[in-house]
This record gives sequence, structure tokens and C-alpha cells, in this order.
Amino acid sequence: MSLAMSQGRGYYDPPSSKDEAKSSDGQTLEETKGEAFDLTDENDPPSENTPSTPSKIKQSDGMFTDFEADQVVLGESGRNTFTGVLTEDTGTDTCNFLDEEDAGVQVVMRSDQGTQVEITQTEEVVQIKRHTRSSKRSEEEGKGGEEEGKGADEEGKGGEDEYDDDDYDADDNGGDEETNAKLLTFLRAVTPSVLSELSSNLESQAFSGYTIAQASSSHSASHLHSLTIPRSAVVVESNLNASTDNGFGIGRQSSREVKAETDDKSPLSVTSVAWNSTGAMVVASYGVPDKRGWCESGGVVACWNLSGRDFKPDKPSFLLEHSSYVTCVCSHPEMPAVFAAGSFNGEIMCFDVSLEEPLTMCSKIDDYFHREPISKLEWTWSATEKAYQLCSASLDGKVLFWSFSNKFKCPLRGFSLSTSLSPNSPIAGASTLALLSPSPTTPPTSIICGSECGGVVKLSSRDPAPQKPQKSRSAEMKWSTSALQALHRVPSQHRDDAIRKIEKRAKSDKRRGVDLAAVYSGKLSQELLFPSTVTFVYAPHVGGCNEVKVHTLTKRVFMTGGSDGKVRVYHVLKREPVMEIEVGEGATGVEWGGDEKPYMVLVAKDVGGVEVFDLKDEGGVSKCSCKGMWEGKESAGRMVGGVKVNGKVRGMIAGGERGGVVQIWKIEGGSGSGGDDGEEVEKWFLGRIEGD
Amino acid sequence: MSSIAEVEETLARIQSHKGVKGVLICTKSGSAVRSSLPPAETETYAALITQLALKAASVARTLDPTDDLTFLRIRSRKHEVMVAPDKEYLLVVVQNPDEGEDA
Repeated sequence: MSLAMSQGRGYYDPPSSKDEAKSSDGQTLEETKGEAFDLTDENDPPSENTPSTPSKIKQSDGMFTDFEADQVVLGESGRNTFTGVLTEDTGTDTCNFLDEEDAGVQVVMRSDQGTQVEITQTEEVVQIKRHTRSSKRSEEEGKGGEEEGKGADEEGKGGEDEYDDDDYDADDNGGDEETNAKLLTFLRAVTPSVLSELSSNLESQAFSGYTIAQASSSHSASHLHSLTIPRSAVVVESNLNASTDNGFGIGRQSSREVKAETDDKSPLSVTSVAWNSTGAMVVASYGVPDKRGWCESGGVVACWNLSGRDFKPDKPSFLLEHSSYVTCVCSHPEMPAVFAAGSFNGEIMCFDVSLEEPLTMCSKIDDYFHREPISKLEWTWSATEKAYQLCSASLDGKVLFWSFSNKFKCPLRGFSLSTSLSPNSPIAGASTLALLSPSPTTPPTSIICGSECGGVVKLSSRDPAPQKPQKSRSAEMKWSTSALQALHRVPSQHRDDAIRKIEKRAKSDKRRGVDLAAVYSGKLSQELLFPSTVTFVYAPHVGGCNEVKVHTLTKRVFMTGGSDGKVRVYHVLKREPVMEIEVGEGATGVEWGGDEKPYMVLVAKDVGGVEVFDLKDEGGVSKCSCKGMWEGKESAGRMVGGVKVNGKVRGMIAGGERGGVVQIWKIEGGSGSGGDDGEEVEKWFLGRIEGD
Repeated sequence: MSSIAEVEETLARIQSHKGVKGVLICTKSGSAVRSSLPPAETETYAALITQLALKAASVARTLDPTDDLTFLRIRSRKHEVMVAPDKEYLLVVVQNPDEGEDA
């Protein structure tokens, strides 16, 4: 029998022959003695250790000061724990010793012919813990000296005999099934070692005080890309009278206002960014964010395929032009090539970049549609249509639902934000919205809207119209289902009046029946078609509310970012926020860290950059900030395009800058406060308010 | 004692050990034979641990052809997963080692 030892970092070469084995065993022992064990009592030169077995015995003779059933105390020195394999047979087995202090994730292997030995070296005592295959050992093998070697030798063989004598009955009385018998044999063989590991695990101090670097609360952000659109494209975009001498002159000639608002280099700024459903493509909309009055030049939607072979940061994979500024984009939750965009003029567009003609749908501008810039788009599942619909918010204070089925010809239904619930609450244009749907495939029950004046309200989005509406008695013409549904949304006391108006108009238009478009052309009052369904008013921001985001895990917690430099976390049932972070500068965009990091919050700042917060760990302290890079320097671009977390690639985030640059970062690390489910998250946030 | 009863008894004995979250036996192909974990977890554990254990066994055998893997322990932030492999089956025990400290 031999005991082979080597330091964890060292490499022990398994010897090819027995003779070599002996000598190298001796050497290893010698090394061990010198470096790690520093045994005081025995200092035999390697030559004396040449016969492996006797040398081992001699060593142990001196070292084993105490010998119990499972423990052998070897000697005294150091403070390291080593585990290794003690072999009885040829002495060719290696063993690795893990130093306790540099133990990372500990994986202990055990040779099937050997016994696992755990050698603990504390101060001056070297302990050998031996795990053999028998759970109970009644006999003491170690009588010291030579018999120890023999005892260990026999133990391997004797272990199997012991099973027969043990509680286990060797005869399988009822075990006719082959599988069960096999299972039993297997279990008998492994159970003792598993049980002993389980016990020793509980006592083990090996990992106490050991912190994993990854789980520490330090975040680090690395900047990956700065994506830009070619300037020439922007000049083409401005199309009106783009004759310029230096290629940058779009602002100078085509639009004075644009020049006044932006610098020469990048006339268009990023207004919003989005990741597509596969997480491989970034979509950014370009326009001028806080423009008032007329829009005189065009905007762009640019897409970069980050994983594409021909990816170039300054050359988008797709560049789609539009006649007015594009104010927001939102990618389809399932189709990777499809996304929707909203324009400054109030148009809703749908693009499919896999098609030759990417613009698949575009809504018209009408009094009954959006007349002001679209501020936010969201996809939502419609149970009746069994398809995704688009929900849009606009600065005109309306929230409309659009369907693919009528090619965005007219909105299916809509709501208005104006409310009498709270006369003091500033409500005007909807600057953002978020949908509260119990699950991704159920229609939203409510909508949270933020307004440009800072108001935060909840609208009920329940549809009062039945799925199969009855034909109205007073109607003379044939009504389509969607038109009848729209009619049902009109309060009943106004319904007859509405029917008269719509049919009169339809007749004068020489329509055969009444469809949804005819309802809108009936010129009913807007309040009848788009009722105000505000059900709850939250404590408003002092400045405009720039973004509302519902928590990814629970639909009862949402977050708002305001121009007043505050990021607030609300519970849907509480008027006052449960948490508030001072960002200092206007928060142009907020984003939750995703399912794995339910307490991580990303905030895009008006002064530039993105800050990462961990609400659970010192809520108001920024964990790390992501600085934009442009031409090798830190850019000071205002983060007006908001920030989006990639749903598929962990830690990847995108932010849009005023200068027209889309910045891509990767955030590493983050706190270990993950693993909570929605209910725990909700409870934690509610606990914050009670604690205050 | 019938073998089936003894199998159950042994599993129950391991399960009753302090801090043990779950016990499962699976075949080398990754299908669970017995388990005390919920079905979804059982499936994941069986599939993932089997792969890792086979890889570890191949590592042990590549390092020394006469050697074989007999035990595998994975220490994570929350658990310690112990794997005892054999020719046909794997015994996987998921333990929460901190539970012992608290108790």
C-alpha cells in the first residue's frame, strides 16, 4: 500500500512501472514533507523510502498519533486541508490535494479501488480522515505499524463482506424485478459514502467565509460598440434641399431649426432603441426628440445585426427612411424581423426587414387617429384576434389599439387620458405607457400612462364590447362586427344618436354597409369613441414622466423615470411610490435588470450615460455607470434614446444618445439577490413602504 | 425485505439526512428512475448532472486509464450536489449545507 501525495497545484505523474512507482512515491512524500506538511518527527531521506509500503508504514507509524474508526491523526503542522486517495494495490493512483485556502468549487474524486482520504492539517496536527465503503466499522484495523497497512488492505475487500453481515439482507426475498435488484446493488454500494459525505459536508468549514468574486455586489460595464448611421444617409434623409458643400450641412440649409437644436456632425439624434426578439439585432429610431412645431425633415430607422458576419458599427444592416422624424420603435415579441415605429406626425408604421419592401403598414393621419408625435408603442396579445396588436401612446393624449387585420387603416379602439378624477393632477399628452397584462399571452387589464406634465395614471383597458355584438334595433344598414363593437363602446344613452350620425354619413358616402372606417368618418365626438377610463391617479412627478416600466416578474410593481431626476417604484395599488431614487439629472429612460436580477435598475440620464442601481443593496447608490464612447473618447451625448436590456443575451444593454450614437455595453457581475419569484419581489417592495 | 422496499427505505434514509433537498437516481442516459424532487427539477437535474458526471468520468479515465470516477461533488452558492456514479446508475443528492449551520 502506498500513500501518494502531491500539492494541489503540483502534478503527480503516474508511474508506469512498479519500481518507478516506489521511487516517485518516495519523492512525493519527501516533497510533501518539505513543503506542506513540515513534519517534525520523521525526516527520512528518500533512499530509505525506496520500498514504498514499508516507508509508508514507517511514516504512519510515527505520524499516526491517534486512530479512531474514521480518523487518523497524522502529525502536526500548518493549517491546510488536503484530500486524496489512499490506495492499497499497486501504488499507482494519484491524488490531488486541495488547499483549503484556494479551494474554489470543490470537486472531490475518489478512486473506485481506493479509499478516500481527507487529510486535514491544523496547526501542528495532520489529520487523515478516511472514508471507506462501509458505513459502520466495528473493528479497528489500525493497530499501528505494519498491521495498519494490512488493515487498510483488507478493509477494501472486507468492506464488501461487511454488507452481508450488516442490516442489509443479501438475499432478495421479494426482489424479482431485475431493475430493483440492480438498483439495490447500486444503492448499497454508494449509500454509505453519500451518507458520510452528507455528514461531513454539514460540519465542513471549508467554505465558511469564502465569497465568490462573481457574487460580490460590484458591477462592471464594458463598452462594446458605438453604432452610428452614415452621415450621407442623413443628408439624403433630409431630402428637401440637401445641396450641401461638405456633407454635414443638412442643418444649415434644409432646416434652420434642426441646426439650432443639434450640432453639425450628427443632425439626428436617437429617439429610442430596441432589441429584436432574438437579441441579435438593435433597432434605433432617429429624429429630434424635443422638437416643437412642424417637422420639416425626415427621420430614419436603423438596424444593426450585431451577430452578423458583415457587422460594421458605422454601417447599419438596414436603413429605412421616413418622411418625418421617427420617434419610437418597438420590436415584435416573436418575429425577429418585424418591428413597429411611430412618427413625429402621428403615423404608426410596421416594418418587416426580411421583405424587399420593408414598410408593410402605415397608418394615416386623421383627427380620430394620432395627430401628435407617437411617444411609445407596445405589442399586446389579443385573445379575440389570436394575434399581436399594437398599442400606441401619443402626445395628443390618446392611447389607441391597432390591428394587423385592417392594416392599420383605423384603430380598433382607444382611450383618452383626460380625467376628472384628479383635477390637480397634470394630464396632457401621454409621454409613455406600459401595459399590465397578467401574462404575455393575455390581453392587458390596465395601462399605466405617464404624461409629459409628470402625471402617472392607470387606465382600465377592459373592452365593454361583446365578442359577438347584437345588431342594433335602430340600425338600418348592415354593420360589420368591428363597427358594432365600436358602437357598443359608446355609452348607451348616446348610441341611437351615434347610429343616426354614422348611417347618415355612410349613406352620403355611398357606402353599402358600415365598417369600422365608416364609424370614424361619422364624426362622433372624440369623447364617445375614446372614453376616458382613468381608474387611478398616482403621485405625479414634478417634471415630465419619461418612461414607465412594469416589473418583469410581477405585474404589480412598476417604475417611472422623470425629468425631475427621480426614479420611482410604485405598487399598482398605492398612490405614493414605495421607493424613490434620486438620479440627480433627468431620467430619460428606465429599465429593469431582467428576471435574473429583479432588483437591478438601469437609468439613462439626460446628461449622458447609464447608471446601474441595485435597489436591494443600498438602494440609492449607483453601482456602476456606463459611459458612452465616441471616437476613442468618452462621449457626453445625452442619453435621450433611453436604455434597453437585451432579453436574450445576458448583460447586454443598448442606449441611444442625442448625438446619434447607439451605445452597446455589457454589464458583468451584479448582486446575488436574484432567484426571487414575482411574489417575493412584490412583497419586498411593499415591505419598503411599511418600513418607512 | 423485498428489494423494492429496501430501495425505498434507503432513499428515505438519505432524504431524511439533515439538509438534504432531494434525492434522485437516474440512468447514465439521463432519465430519472426514482426522485424526490418535483418533476420539472428532476428532469433538469437528471439531464444536466448525467452529462457532467460522464464528462468527469472521462476526465478521470483520460488522466489515468486504470482509474475511474467514483464520486463527484459540485459546490454552488446555494447547494452542494453529490453524485455517486456506477456502471448503470447515478445517485444524485442535493444538499443545502447551510441548513446544518442554522440548526
